[in-house]
Amino acid sequence: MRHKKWVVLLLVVFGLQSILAACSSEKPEEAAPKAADGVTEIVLWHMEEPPNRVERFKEIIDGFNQANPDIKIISQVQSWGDAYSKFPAAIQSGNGPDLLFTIPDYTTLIKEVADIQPMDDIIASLDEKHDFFETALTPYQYEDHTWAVPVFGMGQVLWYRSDILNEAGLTPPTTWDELKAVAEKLTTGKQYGIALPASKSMATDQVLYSFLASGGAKHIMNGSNEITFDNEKTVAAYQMYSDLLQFSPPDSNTYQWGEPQAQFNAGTVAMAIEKGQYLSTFEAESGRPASDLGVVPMPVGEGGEESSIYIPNGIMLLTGDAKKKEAVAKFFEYLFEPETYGKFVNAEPGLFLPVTETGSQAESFWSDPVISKFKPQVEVLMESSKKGALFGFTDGVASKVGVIAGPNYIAQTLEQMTSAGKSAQEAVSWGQELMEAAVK
Amino acid sequence: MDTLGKAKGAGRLLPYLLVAPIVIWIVITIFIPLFSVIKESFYSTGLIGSKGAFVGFDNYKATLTSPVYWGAWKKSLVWVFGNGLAQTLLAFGIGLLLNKATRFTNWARTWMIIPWIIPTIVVAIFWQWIFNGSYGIFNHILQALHIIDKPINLIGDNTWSLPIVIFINTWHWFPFMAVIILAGLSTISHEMYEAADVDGANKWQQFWSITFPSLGKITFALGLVGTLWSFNIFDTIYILTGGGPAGATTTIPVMIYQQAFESYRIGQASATSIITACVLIVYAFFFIKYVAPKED
Repeated sequence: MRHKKWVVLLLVVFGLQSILAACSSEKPEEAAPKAADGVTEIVLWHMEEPPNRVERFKEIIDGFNQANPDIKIISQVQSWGDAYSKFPAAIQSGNGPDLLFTIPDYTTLIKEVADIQPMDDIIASLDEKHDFFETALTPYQYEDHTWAVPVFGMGQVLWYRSDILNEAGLTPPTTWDELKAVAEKLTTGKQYGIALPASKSMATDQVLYSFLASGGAKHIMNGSNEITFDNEKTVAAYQMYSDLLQFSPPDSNTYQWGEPQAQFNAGTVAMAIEKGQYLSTFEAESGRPASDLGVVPMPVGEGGEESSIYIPNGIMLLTGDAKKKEAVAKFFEYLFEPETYGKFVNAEPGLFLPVTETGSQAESFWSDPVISKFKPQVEVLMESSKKGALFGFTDGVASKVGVIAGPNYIAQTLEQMTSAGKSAQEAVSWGQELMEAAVK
Repeated sequence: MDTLGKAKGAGRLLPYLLVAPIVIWIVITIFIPLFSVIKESFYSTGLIGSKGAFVGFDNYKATLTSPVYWGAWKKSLVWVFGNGLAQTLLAFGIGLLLNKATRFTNWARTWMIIPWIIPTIVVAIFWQWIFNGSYGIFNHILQALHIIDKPINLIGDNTWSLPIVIFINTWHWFPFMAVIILAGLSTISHEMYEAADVDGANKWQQFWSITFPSLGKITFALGLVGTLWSFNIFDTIYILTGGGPAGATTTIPVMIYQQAFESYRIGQASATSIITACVLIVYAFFFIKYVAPKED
């Protein structure tokens, strides 16, 4: 009997030990992948989850690993949803990656919690060979360094159904006034002129910012984190957006990325402002030929300029290890070679755009079936991206732009008009106060 | 003698050792995170993982003086009261209807729980589709019946969004309450109703004199757990509306999430959580003290 008790006791102690062992934190060096002799292992986290993107990135990385047997890039797919809530803790506990995909405002946030490495040497070498677009590079350049290598860009344009516009005898708009007039004329019965998101979401933030950029109000905050949002041009942009919502479907204030595209492909709406993801699904979902997918740069507001939101996606370096840095430099050399880079960017044809001159001319980019079929549309996207802007990165780099982007304050300001009944001026003043409180 | 004493000592220790794993587990999963939240509430921590400065009670002051916080309380109270009322009425109604042994009730008892077993994400998606302003069947029916000319967007409407989300959550959760009430009803002796019949009591009198008092302990437990449970619901609201439009469905849990993971103010979110937890503890204390059924 006594013997049995001791067996139970031993089991309890063993159980406790297991629990504590499971809860103890792993040392960083233990958590890192074990490298074979002489092979430098680099862990890369990317947040491009759709299977086609994962597959294409894997192809590129496998190609590099085969060509460089002394280096092994290990690609791990993560989620943007975890990027803000889990990555910082993972990085701080030593379980983060060596390379991490990013967007400019995310870099400003991560820079506060992680030891991001300047990538000046890598950028200088790549820029010399491939010539980065300024709009792609600038948002990562501050405090005398470049903090990420831009790898692809995403820019917004005005998409229109040329079959619907032609039938109505209308030409694509180039100014806000024309846009409003065309949207109004095309709103008849069950058809709407334009699909605009008006929910509290990043989708709304981005489309609204295209109006701010094209209306001459692209500086919402400056490099000293001062909010410069409340001005006449911002008010005019919000007023225009609100006016256009009359010609957008009634559920627009629940729209995010997918709904405007679905409505556009269904022919329920004639226009939408979005990035290049419209190319790959248009024919299959609309049943219309590629020529019915029209595109023009974002229409310009009074006193504004040709511009729209442009988001350069990049890769940050989180390791200070000299051998790893050397391996990373080799990886970027490989990635930006024109025969590789076009394939990489076409992981999502049309949505991901080249960020270098050599990339934008690469045969590997233009030979993609989707890109070659929609060549005129892609050319418009490329031109627009060179005139793009990104909030928080237009008047110096606002290190606190993340706290404006995260809660979608640009979109929330619109909600004050559409849901709370405020005027454009009242809503913009409300937005200014909210943003000022956030950056305090 | 010594050996016997040691054996007795080990015997006394054994129960403690047996409960030790669960105690340690509770400490690790509840108390350590709780103390971490309490600590963070005194710091100006932004993004998770970043280091904040000690700010004393500033986060508490900011929460208690924030009109957004009290606005969220108002919405939370409407949410809890709306859900409580709708779910109680439905659950009692269904429970009483199904408390008879017929072929239909046997069949219905099984199928009734379907809304409850459907994952929240699925519930949210299909109700979003039903109420969708462009393709939803709800608008289609109203338009076909000429009740409305143009589609309406209830989930995105400032006035209707909270009632609609309450309706959807009620639809999801009432079967659980109905099952509990049904279980309680099945324990009430039929002889009591027969005796009441003999005494000439009508159904309404039987309900208030026999059924309702007999379910006292169950309704008390449901009242306490249900309200706290309902108060803390985050997923349904966040998936359906994200707290919008313009904050119309921003209850306290949604607000805390937004502070922590959208505005990157972990310190502030921690203070808001602690204040809210204290209010809920006080509520639970008074609920137990004054509403708990008295033992005869």
